[in-house]
Formats: sequence, C-alpha cells, structure tokens
Amino acid sequence: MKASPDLNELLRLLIQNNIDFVIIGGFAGILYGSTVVTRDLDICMVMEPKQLEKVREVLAPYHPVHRRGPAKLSFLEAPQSFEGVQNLYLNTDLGTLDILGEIIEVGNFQQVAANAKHVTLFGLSAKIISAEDLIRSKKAMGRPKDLLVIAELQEVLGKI
Amino acid sequence: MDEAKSKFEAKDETATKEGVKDFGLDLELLQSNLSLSLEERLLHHHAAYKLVMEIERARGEGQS
Repeated sequence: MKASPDLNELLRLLIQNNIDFVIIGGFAGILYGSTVVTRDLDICMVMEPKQLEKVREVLAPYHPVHRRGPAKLSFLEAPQSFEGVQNLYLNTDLGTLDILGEIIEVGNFQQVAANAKHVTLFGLSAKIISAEDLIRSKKAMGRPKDLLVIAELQEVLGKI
Repeated sequence: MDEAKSKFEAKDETATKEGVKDFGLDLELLQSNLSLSLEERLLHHHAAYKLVMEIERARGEGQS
C-alpha cells in the first residue's frame, strides 16, 4: 500500500536510521516557529557514497524517484554510482526530499553543521541549521516566500 | 488547530512579493507557534501541509 505524504515521517525515518544531516530550508523554518507552509523536506549532508547508499536503503519502500529530468528515474536504480553527486531532488510516497551537499552563502555540510542547533526530535538527536545561517541562505534565494520566512526568523531571533 | 490551518493556508496563498508587504507578519500566530514544542510545531505544520496538498490535487484534477 502506498504511504500518504507525511514529511514528519520522512524526517523521522532519516533520523532514526542514523543518517548524519542538518535540517535546512522551510522545514527548519517551521522548527523555528515559521508560519509558512513548506511542501518539501530539505536536508544538507555529506554527499559520500556510504551515506547516500543508506538513504537509498531507507527510502526504498517509499518509491523514490528523481524529480528532475524527463524520465523520472527511480532513485533505487540511478545513479549507479554516487561519485561526484552534489545534490539530489527526489519525490517519495512520503513527500518531496531535497538533499544538498552545499548551501548557497553558507557552505558545505561541515560549515552548516558547525553552527547548527542540536535538538531532540521524536526522542532522537537531530540538527537544525542555525537561524542566522537560514536567514543568510534565504536572503540569497530571495523568493517571495523566503522574504516572509526571513521576517519571521528575525522576529524569532529577537525573542531568543 | 483549524484556525492555525486556515492561517497557514491563507499565508501560503498570499505570499507573493506584494503579499509579503501587504500581508505583513502575523505576530500573533508566530507567537502562538513559539509557545509550542518542536513536535507540536511539526504536527501543526503537517495539518496545514495536508490541506495544501489536497487543494493542489483538487486543482490538478479540475484542470485534467
């Protein structure tokens, strides 16, 4: 049976399976209290084959496919090798998952993780991009919804 | 929760460049979210997310 879209479940699965990542993007905004709905889960991680193989294994029951490109290739079959992969844009039964190796204006996983906020989610340890880094990355993207999240985050930072 | 869902949805639909300026921040809702635990924030968001997905699916079906 096909699972219903549930980004929380997608996040829980990744955390529970010890994949080392930082929650970024709109979903991080939600955790900081943002009121803007996001349609996907964005994470930043080291794009190394061992970690990505683990992601593939965890997502396997949820029919992951590549969102970009005309063929909608299955993530279970492509790419055959993860060497050189920088970003992955996937659709799964649980929802959309974007996996980035680097964030504009912030840097790679190590740089994002260095400032990340450590929290407990679903009883497990997780990392969220710092509010300051999230603002920086959203300023760089500059889409209308980013502007709203930035305004909210600045408000939140004033209260922390 | 219903009110939170509708505000989430209203904001999602109005987040145009002008919308940000006109709509402004909903400080009351933001404050309300800040009073929630992280898991509660995720649950509230999930309710709104489901609503948005349902609306988009209905729009898609309407166009086909």
